[in-house]
Amino acid sequence: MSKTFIINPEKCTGCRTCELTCAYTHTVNNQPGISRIRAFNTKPPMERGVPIVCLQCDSAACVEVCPVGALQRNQETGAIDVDYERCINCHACYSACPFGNILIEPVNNRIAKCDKCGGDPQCVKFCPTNALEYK
Amino acid sequence: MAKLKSPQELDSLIKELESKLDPEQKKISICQGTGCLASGADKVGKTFVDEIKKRKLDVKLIHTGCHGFCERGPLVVIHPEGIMYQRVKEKDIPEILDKTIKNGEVLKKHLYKDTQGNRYEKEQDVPFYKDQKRIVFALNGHIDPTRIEDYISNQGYGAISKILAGWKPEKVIDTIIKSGLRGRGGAGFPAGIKWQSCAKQKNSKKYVVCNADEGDPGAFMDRSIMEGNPHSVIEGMLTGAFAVGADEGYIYIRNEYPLAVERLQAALKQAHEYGLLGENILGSGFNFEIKVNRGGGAFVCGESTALMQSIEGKVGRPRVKWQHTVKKGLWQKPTVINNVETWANVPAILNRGIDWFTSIGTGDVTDNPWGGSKGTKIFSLVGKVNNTGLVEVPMGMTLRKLVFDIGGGIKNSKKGRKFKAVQTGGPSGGCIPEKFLDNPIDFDELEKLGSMMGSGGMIVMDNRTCMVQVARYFVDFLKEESCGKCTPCREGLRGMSEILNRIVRGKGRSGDIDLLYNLATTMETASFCNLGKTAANPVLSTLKYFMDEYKAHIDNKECPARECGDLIKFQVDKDNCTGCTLCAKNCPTEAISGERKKVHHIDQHKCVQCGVCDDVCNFNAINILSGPEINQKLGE
Amino acid sequence: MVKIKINDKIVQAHKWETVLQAAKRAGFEIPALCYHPSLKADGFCRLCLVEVTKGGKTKIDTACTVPVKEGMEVNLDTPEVVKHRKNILEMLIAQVPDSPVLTELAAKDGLKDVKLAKGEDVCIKCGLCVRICRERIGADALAMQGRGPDVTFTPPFGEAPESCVGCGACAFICPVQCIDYENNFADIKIWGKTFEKAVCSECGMPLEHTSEHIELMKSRHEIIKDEDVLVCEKCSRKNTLETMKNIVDGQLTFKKLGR
Repeated sequence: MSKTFIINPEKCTGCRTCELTCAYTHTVNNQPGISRIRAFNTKPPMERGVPIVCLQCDSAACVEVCPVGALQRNQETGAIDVDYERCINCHACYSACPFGNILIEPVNNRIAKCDKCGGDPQCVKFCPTNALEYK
Repeated sequence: MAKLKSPQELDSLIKELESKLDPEQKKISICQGTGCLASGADKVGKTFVDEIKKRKLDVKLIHTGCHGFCERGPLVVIHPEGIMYQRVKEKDIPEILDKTIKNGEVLKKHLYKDTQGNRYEKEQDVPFYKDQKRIVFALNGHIDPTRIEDYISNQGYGAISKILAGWKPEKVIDTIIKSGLRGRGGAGFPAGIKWQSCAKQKNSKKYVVCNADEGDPGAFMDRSIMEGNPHSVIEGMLTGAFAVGADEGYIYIRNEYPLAVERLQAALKQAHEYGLLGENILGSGFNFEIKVNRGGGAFVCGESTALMQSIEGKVGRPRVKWQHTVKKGLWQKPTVINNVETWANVPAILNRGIDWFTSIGTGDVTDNPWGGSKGTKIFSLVGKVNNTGLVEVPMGMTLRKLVFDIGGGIKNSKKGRKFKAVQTGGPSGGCIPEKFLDNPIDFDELEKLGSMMGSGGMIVMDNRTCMVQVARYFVDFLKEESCGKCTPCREGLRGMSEILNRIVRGKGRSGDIDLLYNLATTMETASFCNLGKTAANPVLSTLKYFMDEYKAHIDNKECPARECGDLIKFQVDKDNCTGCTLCAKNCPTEAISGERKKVHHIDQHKCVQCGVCDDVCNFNAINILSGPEINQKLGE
Repeated sequence: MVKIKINDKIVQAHKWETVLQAAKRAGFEIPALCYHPSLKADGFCRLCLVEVTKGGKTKIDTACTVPVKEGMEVNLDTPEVVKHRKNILEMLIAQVPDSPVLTELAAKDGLKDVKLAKGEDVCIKCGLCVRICRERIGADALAMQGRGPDVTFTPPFGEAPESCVGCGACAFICPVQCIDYENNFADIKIWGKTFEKAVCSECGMPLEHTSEHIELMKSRHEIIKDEDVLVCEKCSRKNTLETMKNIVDGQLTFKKLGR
């Protein structure tokens, strides 16, 4: 069994460090706007943040719907990785994801999703409150 | 008629029908092949029926398939004497019936006359037929293709009765391998080897396919076989299906052959009625069904994978052969595909044996099926020869014999026309010059000369045929017919066509020959299918043997054959012109002027270089100028 | 795995790979314009010529259509191969003179003057658009039409195609970017047809796809449900958040989330 994200909303302060980390790791221009993890600030009365990131579903809609087989599970990390060589930019996966966890990079119009940083998720490392865990 | 239930029943039917044949019976066989139909054989045939009825003659009338000598159609042969009348018109029929049939008098005026003026009475003595050896065409002039009984009475379906009486498929395959039968569609792949590799594929549905998509300009032998003897093709396919274990067959035939389609469909129906097709054929448990699939007449559909795509209902374009078609062919199932003529050869081989078949042809095939070319090949002899038509000759006959004996020599030799080259193998073949006239014709020899057997087109060219024009014609044809899928074929042909068209217009440039070579070699190596790989052959072979003509076109703006309109001018020879006015009368643009009995003059501004004046002139008084001559002699 | 030799380097290849795939994986560069990893090779452009020696026979063939075989020797840059590749490139560049992709390839192979007559085409006729539409998207809106040099890759009869869903895959996959495609805020324009984008059933914002494309996806994949696909990314996230909140508040169990 590969490792997975564990999200503890009660620890999340909504600081969005995870978003910044993701942007630094994955985007060319460090745009937090296209971070693959999003920390939502819930409104009062709850007053807490919830980081939302790809769940790497077992029977994933994105994998199912991809016409060219560009989304494949990485056996080592358990993440669903995008093969950009194969991808034809039809964005079917983007629509198919029920959680809205696939996004489109506006720069080059291609899709992006969490790849668990190849097995070492940076967002977990930098989360100051351990709201994100990876085990 | 009842379905035949065993090979024995078929055998006795063959014997019964054979015994009914009376060799002394008066028979008139009228060719109803496409060539003769074009010259009016339809009406001739009908008139014969009416006139015979009127006269109440005891004579059997057979409307046969193509006899081969299409140039002299409509052909009528009177048996048992074998008297051949040619170019028979409706009005001649009463006389033929009254004199020849009733009184046995031979009408000289209808007999074939050669260029020396000799008349030939019997069909088998006519030079066109004398040197032929007819295996596939053997029955063409004798049976009515719409009657299965005619075929059966001539040992028809004897091969299938023989093998279903207890032969193992391996034995059939072995026979075909040992006979050395090579595919008649062009490449000459040994048919038996193909069958063997297909038979090795186990536990799968299999198909046999008959490639009847004959698209070469000037070739019509497959058409004539299907029109004249469709059952031989069906029997061949039955044999092949039994050998490889197929239960479904397709005949892929171009829709431009409506008569062949009709005859085949009728033949299939009759074979069904006799139980020679369908389930449990002759009680052997062997099932086989043939479907006729009409093609839209794309040249590229003659390529095996394109043909299969087309049968599958897709656009007919070659596809990648990840595996050979004998493993994954039609609908990705093992498939044997052979040409019409190949299939039609099969029953003859099984009926008459390996030794008989291998005694005809060249080389030795006992150990190696590639070792030689056995049997006969049908050629459609066309172009500038006297006797055009379909000829079936043993492999290994020399080109000279074919062109000068069977073909009767070059047309208009009195006007000084001489043999220059013969183009074999259709658009993918090449031109063979005079120095190789004594080479034998077989698969390997032709390939050595830079041409190929192809489906058997043979276009004879005389000294007034410009070889650059020949290359241009074939390249333009292939450019239209290329499927456009792969770059070398599509763009290479476009490029070659542009260059050749420029050369024949006198706009050739110095680097053009190198450019042609460059394009041709890349097409040969890098094209997707064999259409592209061989498409450069017309250019390569003419470059090889007639380089001087290309050079004359490019360097001197001269067409040595005086064919290229942009490079020639017509001039009246002052010494020879008698002022007969014939040329002036015939000139379509009224470019020729002159009074009777005075030398005529051609107005170069009006002349369109059509050459009619030269054709009609009886005094050799038209000079055709080209190249530097034009300025010297016309001096304008 | 089978062992093959490419330019004297031993390469391990999967049994099902072609020479092109094996060579690419091993880091070799072979120009190929009609190749796409998600499509079965069909040998259109013929640029990926290599010299293959197998079973004692040497011949020049396209790397994309030759399956690997144990002991096979492949040579990528023999003078013959380069010559033919240059010729093919010249044929292409003569017809499509302004393509940066071709110019770059030509520069690599040292092709300088194009002797063939020039055309003004923009399409290199690689067939990828037709193949992706037919084989992968499943819309089958494009076709290869005509024959010989007149071949075109267009919707039937060159009209705005009926079965096109406006997914834009053809425009994306085109190696020379010659298909006009506009992805606007609320519509997509392609092949002379304007498609309205479907809208989010919750917030009303235009989605990424046309409703035709969504219908096609639904017909091809059972997993696609309206409540997933007709909701925009932001609303999806919001919904996820709501679900999470409910979990935290103990109103939902975790099982309800995910698949």
